[in-house]
Amino acid sequence: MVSYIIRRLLMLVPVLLGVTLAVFLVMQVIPDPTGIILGQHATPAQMAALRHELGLDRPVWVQYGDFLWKALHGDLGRSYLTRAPVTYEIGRRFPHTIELTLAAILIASVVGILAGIVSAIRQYTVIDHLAMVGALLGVSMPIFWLGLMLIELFAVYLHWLPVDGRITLEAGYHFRTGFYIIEAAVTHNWPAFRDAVRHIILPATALAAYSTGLIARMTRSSMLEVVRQDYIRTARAKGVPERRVIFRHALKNAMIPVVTVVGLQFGYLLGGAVLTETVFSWPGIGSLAVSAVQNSDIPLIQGTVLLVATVFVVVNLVVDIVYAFLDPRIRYS
Amino acid sequence: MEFQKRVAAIILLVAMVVGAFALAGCTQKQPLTIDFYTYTNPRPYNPAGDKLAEAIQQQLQQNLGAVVNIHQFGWTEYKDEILSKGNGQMYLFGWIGDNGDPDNFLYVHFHSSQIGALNAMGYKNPQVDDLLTQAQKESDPQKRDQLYKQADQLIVQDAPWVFISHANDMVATRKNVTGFVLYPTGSIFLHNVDKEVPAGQQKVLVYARGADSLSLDPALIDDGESAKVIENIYDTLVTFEPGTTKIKPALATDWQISDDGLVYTFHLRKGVKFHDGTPFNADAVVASIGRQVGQNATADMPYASFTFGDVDKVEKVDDYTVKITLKEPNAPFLLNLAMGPAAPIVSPTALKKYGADFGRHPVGTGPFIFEKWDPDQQIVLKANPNYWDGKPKVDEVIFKVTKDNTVRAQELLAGSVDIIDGIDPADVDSLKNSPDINFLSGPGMNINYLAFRVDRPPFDNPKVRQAVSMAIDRQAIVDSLYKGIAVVANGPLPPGMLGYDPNLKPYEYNPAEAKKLLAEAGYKVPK
Repeated sequence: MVSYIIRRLLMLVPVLLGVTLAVFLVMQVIPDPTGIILGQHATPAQMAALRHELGLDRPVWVQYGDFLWKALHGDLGRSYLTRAPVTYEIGRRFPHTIELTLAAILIASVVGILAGIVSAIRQYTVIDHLAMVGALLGVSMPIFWLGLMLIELFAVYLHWLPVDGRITLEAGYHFRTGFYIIEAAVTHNWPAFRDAVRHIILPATALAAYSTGLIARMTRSSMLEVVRQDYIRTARAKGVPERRVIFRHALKNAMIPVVTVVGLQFGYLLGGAVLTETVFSWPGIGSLAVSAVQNSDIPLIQGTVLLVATVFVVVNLVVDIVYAFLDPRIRYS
Repeated sequence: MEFQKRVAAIILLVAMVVGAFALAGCTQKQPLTIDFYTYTNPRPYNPAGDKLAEAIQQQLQQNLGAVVNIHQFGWTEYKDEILSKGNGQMYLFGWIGDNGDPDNFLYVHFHSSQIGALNAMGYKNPQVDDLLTQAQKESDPQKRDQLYKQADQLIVQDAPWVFISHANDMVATRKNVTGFVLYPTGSIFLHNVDKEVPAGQQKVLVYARGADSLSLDPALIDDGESAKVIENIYDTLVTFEPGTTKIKPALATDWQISDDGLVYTFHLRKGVKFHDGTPFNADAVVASIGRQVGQNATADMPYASFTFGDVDKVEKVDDYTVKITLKEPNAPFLLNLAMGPAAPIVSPTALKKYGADFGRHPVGTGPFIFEKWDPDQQIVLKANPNYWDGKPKVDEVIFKVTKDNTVRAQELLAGSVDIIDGIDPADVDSLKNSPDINFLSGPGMNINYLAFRVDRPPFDNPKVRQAVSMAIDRQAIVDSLYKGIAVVANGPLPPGMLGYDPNLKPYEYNPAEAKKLLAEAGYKVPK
């Protein structure tokens, strides 16, 4: 098992090299960032001078080598526009995205798995049909549109929840980290906790919609498959209470494919955060990536893509390991 | 037999001659074909984005039978195509004024020295050159006004542009917010803005906008989102009268300009302190301007050459007097000193202390003191109780980032923010109809234009330019694409600016006359 994990970690190296190379090549075809940095008065001479200063006039492979060497030393360069180190920019925003993604995963798993189980044990009833139509809607609705509809209904019309943002700014809460909900809970700052939770509900719901639908359908089909197996019939024949049959005997085995989906959704959610964060003014890496792309801020684009790719790969590894714990038949060698 | 051959030969010959004439006729009378370059994304002066190019294409096809090939690009790449590579025969572009001076519209676009830069049309008219150079050196506003009006007239006759529209500046506030004034330059001054709140409650004003600031060091920025915050943290030597581009004293109480227009002597306000407690004096002015002059200016100071490019030296005369010497007379120089980028006076002590990080630890003399900055979320400013022009009316200002235009409008409708800008045309009606909201709009300091490359065919021929100008129904475009958030332009300058002539008559929409002109220019036109 340990050697397997080490091998998988070593495989990270070529994957990340590939990611950086891909990002680097894409960066070659995007427009020249100097025009944006220098604004509407820029002359070609000034642009050339700045290109030289930024090292953009060097051969691509020299730039790539330089980028890799610095990245190995934890230096991802400085943002062209804010002039702050990329690691600083990302570090200040990533906690917000993690909290949003975790909230979405929580909603997607709880709602998705419960809906899937209910659908499976009440197959072909009204509940099953309603749940599956809901799942279909969740999978097919664009995040952007769903987000705007949620705002319109719950914030503007019903006034139950805030329109957007991370926290009520006028309240002047002070946080030391970007993990507002976790920090507020740890420091027992309950007004801030309540406020932060109220703000995360709509964006997390919008972000979770697709994953919830997917997990619900996955759980349903997996459960249906498991409950038809012999050992379940045996358990029922033994007189084991139905509740126990479902939650103890069936669910654990039905969960194996679901865990994979949940794990993979984590990566999807990080990507979906780009749209959700834009709609809900969420100050995470999604917002950062959008403004980086809009401004041709090459170091910042490279940094965010590298981060998301790394998280994606690491989460996949974790999913594979969790597998082994859930199903002792799976062995890694 | 011989005769028959001869007849056949003659018939063949006649047929060939007739055919040749017919062919020649065809090659002579071709429809006008245009390579039309355009950008895809909406711009402040063209909120409709690529729909504008499509509308123009359709009108030229319909009215002139022209073949218009649209080439679209993203904004940065587009600037490169148009300005650096010089591609396309006609292109869409626009301009947002920097300092409210006509020089900043006319000289940069129509003076022949700007060919290769913003004068990408290759436009050259010696008379216009003369007028614009003269106006740049003239200090009497009335004389400048006349000079610019003459230049406007010539430019409109030459028709290097189709003057499409000026977009309105739009801001909406909650009804309990008072004292907000739109400035033609787009400046946002919140010093005199008040908010009515229940007794005993803090007055916190939340201003939502579409993007975060990039830096709060005035020397390093040229974007509106940074300027908005900077204008409230710092002061400038001179500033604008509310809602105008007229100059009034700020950190300078008065000033003299030498007769040759080269030496500006500023007398500074006494007893003003920076937010860090250090005194404001001549050293601060010399430090703030000096770092952006000549060799000191670095490549990442986007406005240094625009604002201070003509400055030869800046010297301290005594603690409260500063002398700025220009290399050549530059009439808009005072207006430049009122702008948000480059001009504000910074604390030299803080500048030294924070170095490259000054942009995140801004220290000025302005009405609000920088408190904190949560990136992509908020910038918090506290009222400066010792402000020389009186304490601000609100206790705190929050500049909030709300990326999506529609969400921003909904925030205002829901009452969670007090002021918004960057209003989407689709949201104008719902904001205007809300009883809780004040909708402010005024002519913006911008121009949305279609440019012809006048240095090459087909637009080196004035008749072709006139024909295309007259084949475009600008009023219909503004009515259908901008629905009341823009006005039709009558020339290169927006209304209200020095040198703007309300009686200017550009080539008006007249498809019949356009067809006639294009036929005269040797093109095939539809009946």
